[in-house]
Amino acid sequence: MVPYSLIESIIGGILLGGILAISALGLNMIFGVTKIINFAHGEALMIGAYVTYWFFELYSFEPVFTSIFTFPILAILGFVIYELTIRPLVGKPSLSALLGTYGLSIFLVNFVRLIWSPRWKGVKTSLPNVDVFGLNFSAARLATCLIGLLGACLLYIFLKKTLLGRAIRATAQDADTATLMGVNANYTYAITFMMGTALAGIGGSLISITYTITPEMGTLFNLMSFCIVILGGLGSFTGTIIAAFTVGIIATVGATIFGMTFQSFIFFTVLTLSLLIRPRWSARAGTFKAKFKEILGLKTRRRSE
Amino acid sequence: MMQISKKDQMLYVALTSIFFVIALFPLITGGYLVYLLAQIFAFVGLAYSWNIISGYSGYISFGHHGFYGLAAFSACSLIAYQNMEPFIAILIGGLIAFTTSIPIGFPCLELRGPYFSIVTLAIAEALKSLIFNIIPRKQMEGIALPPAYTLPRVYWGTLVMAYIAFLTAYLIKNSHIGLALFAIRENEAAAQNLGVNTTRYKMFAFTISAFYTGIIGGLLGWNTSFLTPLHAFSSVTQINIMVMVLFGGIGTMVGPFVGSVIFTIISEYLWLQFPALYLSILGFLIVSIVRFLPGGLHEIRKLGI
Repeated sequence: MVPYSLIESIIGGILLGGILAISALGLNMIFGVTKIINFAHGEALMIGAYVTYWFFELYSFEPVFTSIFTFPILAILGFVIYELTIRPLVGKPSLSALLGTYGLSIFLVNFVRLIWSPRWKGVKTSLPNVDVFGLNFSAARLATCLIGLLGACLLYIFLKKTLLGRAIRATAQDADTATLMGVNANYTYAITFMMGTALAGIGGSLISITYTITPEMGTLFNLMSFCIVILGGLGSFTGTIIAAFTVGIIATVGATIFGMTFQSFIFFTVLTLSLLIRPRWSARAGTFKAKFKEILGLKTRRRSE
Repeated sequence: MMQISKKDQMLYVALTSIFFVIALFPLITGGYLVYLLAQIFAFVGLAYSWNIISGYSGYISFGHHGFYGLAAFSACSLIAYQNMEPFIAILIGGLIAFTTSIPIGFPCLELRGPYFSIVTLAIAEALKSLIFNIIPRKQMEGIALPPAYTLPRVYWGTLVMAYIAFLTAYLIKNSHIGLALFAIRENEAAAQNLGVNTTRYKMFAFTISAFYTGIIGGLLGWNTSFLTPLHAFSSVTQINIMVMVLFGGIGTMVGPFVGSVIFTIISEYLWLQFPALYLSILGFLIVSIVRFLPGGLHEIRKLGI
């Protein structure tokens, strides 16, 4: 029983990873270009899920393909959010931006709770289940994973091949130099924030098929996206996608072994460990290595700063 | 022996006399005024203790609701199931928060600003979901504390804690510890190169902050007389503390006091008038403070109003 369900849960994790990838790529873009840690990213995902729900409820639209609508709607929302709250925070100390987006996330969660009630909502897909080699999984989940990966590919082409994508990459590397080269940094920030929010919206639209839609769903996916970005590395495209699949597999396998209620515990533990292990985020580079060496009684060499 | 300046002597005399006058309140009046004052004192204490780590050293903690909930939950369990003397149980709760903060602090305080915030939030949420999973079902539904007329005792407890937290914050600010913490906030690498043992000072600030938060959590938990884990670990506590300190002015001496007094009264009013809008307004306030008044009320003089 164990290996069989294990394989299924690994496949489930891979399918989840495709969805997480697109949301985490949005976060990574915002993070890399504007240098803002966007705490309201999960809330954009949650609003994307609600948009999917309304399209399903009002027009019985197939939720798997709602992404075409969530992308522009969330892009508009991202523009509004950017103009109202994010713009003055760009270039400020990262902590004030963190606090600002945290406040924004609290506001959005409770606003959504107010207008759409905290009741759980769900969408139903019309795509059938399929059997592959005796393993049963739904075609809708496969489709969502593929849509997520397709979105990631389109994003990659956009960033590498178009002029705007090049401007975004240049701003991410060095905003001042990019401005000197004739890139309108503020415009680039706005576009990046809009795209990041819209990508989170797609993520929400895809995730609504497997998860219940609640106003609080954002928090978990927000921290999952953080986890992925931190594990995958800032500004790394392939790293983010690999990390997304890793986190997806850890989440589903952990839930299979320990039970679904432990899922958030597993996520937060993975996030904590990934933050602690990645030495790049450490206040003093190489500290952990040095500490381990100290514990083992090995000689440590101080790095000159 | 520490030299006490004339100004400090005056301050201590004034504070102690105010303390005793305020302490007489429950003997004269009762009911809502005493309750409101107890709430104000509790939040003054929480705001000062959060300010010690977040305002002084610049390591903004998003995870104090973990310590608060852990201490409140363990203190209330001890009171309800072991029939322990409440104040001893609350002290034990505080000590539990203190001991928990040591293994959390050592690795986490190595992380730079924003990453520290994320990791504290993740750890608090992990702690929350771990506790939700391991406690028996009966306790998950809530701990009913033995009925007792506790309000004056809670009042005195919170008053003492507010006083102690204020004094600690004041003494830290005017000592070499405060100097070291400010140096860490401004430039950690430079402080370290000048021979400040940054880890030790950060740990001191973090653990003492967790200890006070835990004790106040125990007091407020005892006051509710029916404590559910969901309520104890609610992140609303964390949001409230942050709004108060930001509102008053982060890292200052008067800021937390002014912020928490004004804010507790405002929030009591908001609860009364708009219970559904309450958290949205809090989120909106955080965004507006960060946007328009980054230094809090403390900086309003500089604006020339």
